[in-house]
Amino acid sequence: MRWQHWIYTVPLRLRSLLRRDDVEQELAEEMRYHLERKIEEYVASGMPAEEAQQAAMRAMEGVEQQKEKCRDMRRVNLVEDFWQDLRYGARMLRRTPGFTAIVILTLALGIGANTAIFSVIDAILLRPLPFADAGSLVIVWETNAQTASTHNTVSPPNFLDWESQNRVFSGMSYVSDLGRNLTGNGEPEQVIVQYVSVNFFSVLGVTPIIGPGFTPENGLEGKDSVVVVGYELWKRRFASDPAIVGKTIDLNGKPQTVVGVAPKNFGFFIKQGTLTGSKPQLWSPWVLPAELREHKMVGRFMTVVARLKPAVTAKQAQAEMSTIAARLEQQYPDYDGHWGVNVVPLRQQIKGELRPALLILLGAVTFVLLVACANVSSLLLARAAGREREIGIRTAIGASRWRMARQLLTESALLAVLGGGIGIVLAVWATNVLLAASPANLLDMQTAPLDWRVLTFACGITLIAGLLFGFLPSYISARGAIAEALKEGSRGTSAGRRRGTRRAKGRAQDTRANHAGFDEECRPHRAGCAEECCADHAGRAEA
Amino acid sequence: MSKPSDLVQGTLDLLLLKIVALEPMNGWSISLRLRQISGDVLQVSDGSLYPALHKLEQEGWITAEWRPSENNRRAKFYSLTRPGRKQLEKEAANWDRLAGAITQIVKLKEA
Repeated sequence: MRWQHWIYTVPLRLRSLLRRDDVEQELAEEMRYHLERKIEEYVASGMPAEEAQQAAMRAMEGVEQQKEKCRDMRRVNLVEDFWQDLRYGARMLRRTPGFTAIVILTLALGIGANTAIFSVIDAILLRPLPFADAGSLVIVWETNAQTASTHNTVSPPNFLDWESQNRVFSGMSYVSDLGRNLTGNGEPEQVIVQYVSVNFFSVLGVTPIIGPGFTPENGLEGKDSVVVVGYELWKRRFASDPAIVGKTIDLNGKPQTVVGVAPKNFGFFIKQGTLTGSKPQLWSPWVLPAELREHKMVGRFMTVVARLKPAVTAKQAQAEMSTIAARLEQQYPDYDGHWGVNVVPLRQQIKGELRPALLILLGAVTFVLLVACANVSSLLLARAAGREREIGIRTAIGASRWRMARQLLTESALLAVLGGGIGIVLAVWATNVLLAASPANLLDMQTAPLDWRVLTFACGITLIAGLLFGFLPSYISARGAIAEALKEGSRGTSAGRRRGTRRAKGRAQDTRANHAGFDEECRPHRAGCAEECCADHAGRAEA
Repeated sequence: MSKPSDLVQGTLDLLLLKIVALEPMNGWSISLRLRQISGDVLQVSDGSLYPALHKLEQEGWITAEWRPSENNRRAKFYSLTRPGRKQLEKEAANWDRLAGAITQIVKLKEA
């Protein structure tokens, strides 16, 4: 039944708010119509025109008063009051630019720091990894007892031995990245290509959104001139061309056939293991050439990712791989002396070292925000002490405590929103700095996008901060400020100030006297205007 | 200022709902009709009529429309809505109950 009600009431409320002038004009016209008919009636009964007009007005009992009562029926006072508070608050803030700037900056730093840390946490800890069953993926590093290295990239011959000898992995894949010149289809550009074993996508459990991806055949020499294009690159450079599969692109002048487009958000970026330090944009199979397959002076430069067989734990894999490493060390003492193996679950690799640090950071910035709120709160309180007269006067001419508290809270909210807005801008900048400075393994994370979760978080803490620092000053000021404020010069520090107050009070009394006639039914709106004027005078007089 | 003091609180709503239920009317005609049907018993001033009408409109019980009036000038005509009809029934029933109860009391024999 309620919705039937809303069909009529919702448009009316909206109209009252948005088409105020039209509504006012209609109200005037309705009243005028009534008056004119009344006058006609009186004139018809033999009354002189002038007298008839006066009689009609009298019968109306004050046209303006009736209009005011009609306005009261519109039920949008709360919204109108809010606008009024907002405008008034903005004026108050403009009048004290130094205070306003300090408060907004304090809040912006607090909110910005929180948002920046949260967006990093969101990207690293909360978002799922873009792989199937990421829990069974591990990164396999080499270790060196002499240099105490625990996360060393892997040599091709060792990879081949690991792959052929282990019984714990269902698949192992190697990755190595290089910068390449992409030409054709417009401007040449430098792109990062990950050269991978042909089983790379199947080990990660990812299938391209378009195209077949790599086939085992691409793992043969001469058949490996194919690429899978990353989603971002596909979208940007190839305008999301749905028919891209089968076309050729040139990498360093060599034509490559496109066989697929990677899913959105897919990336494999373990910063510790990369050569370029940048996230990949393309993937191409790489067949290890014969000279890299021998245990001679071949460098260690590949990142190795492997998938555990079902029911095999990372610990068991570590034990098995250590056995193999010990065997290789004996077999090739020159090449593999002092080299061992370190198996690290992928999730731990990406998040492990970061998690405690990030949580500690989050704790720290939370305290920063709390301190900021406390500071702003005491600043507001100090200012509220200076505004007691204004509040006293407004209370004296009819503003309720709740109304005053709302006014002050609106001002706090305004400060919070301004601080939050600047804070978000700061956060975007800070996040990029944080990520750029991060030595850690960030998966597909050169820049943390400002997504809806981060924005929700920022808005949430802005709101909480606003309530936090606004509540106490509003409460204290709105509660019984009147007695002290109107006590003669009780808090004034200079004669000038006191005189100003007296003048303002005089004006307030005048205003009150003028309006006494309709004060009793005086709608909050009207009262609000009067208060506002007085408060303005008071403010100016004090200033 | 004379409030419609002769009216029991809330009955003005009932009267107005009933009047616009008969046919859509503008404020002026409503005031004429009020005077005509109730004579001088019910004093509804011109002044208090409009706030009452606007209240009913904002409640969604009556809806307004601008159209030409009897003398071909634009006037705001009010008519009853479906929620308004429900409200009218409710208030009429309330009134019956109240009037019945008061009548009973008034008719009590003094000892």
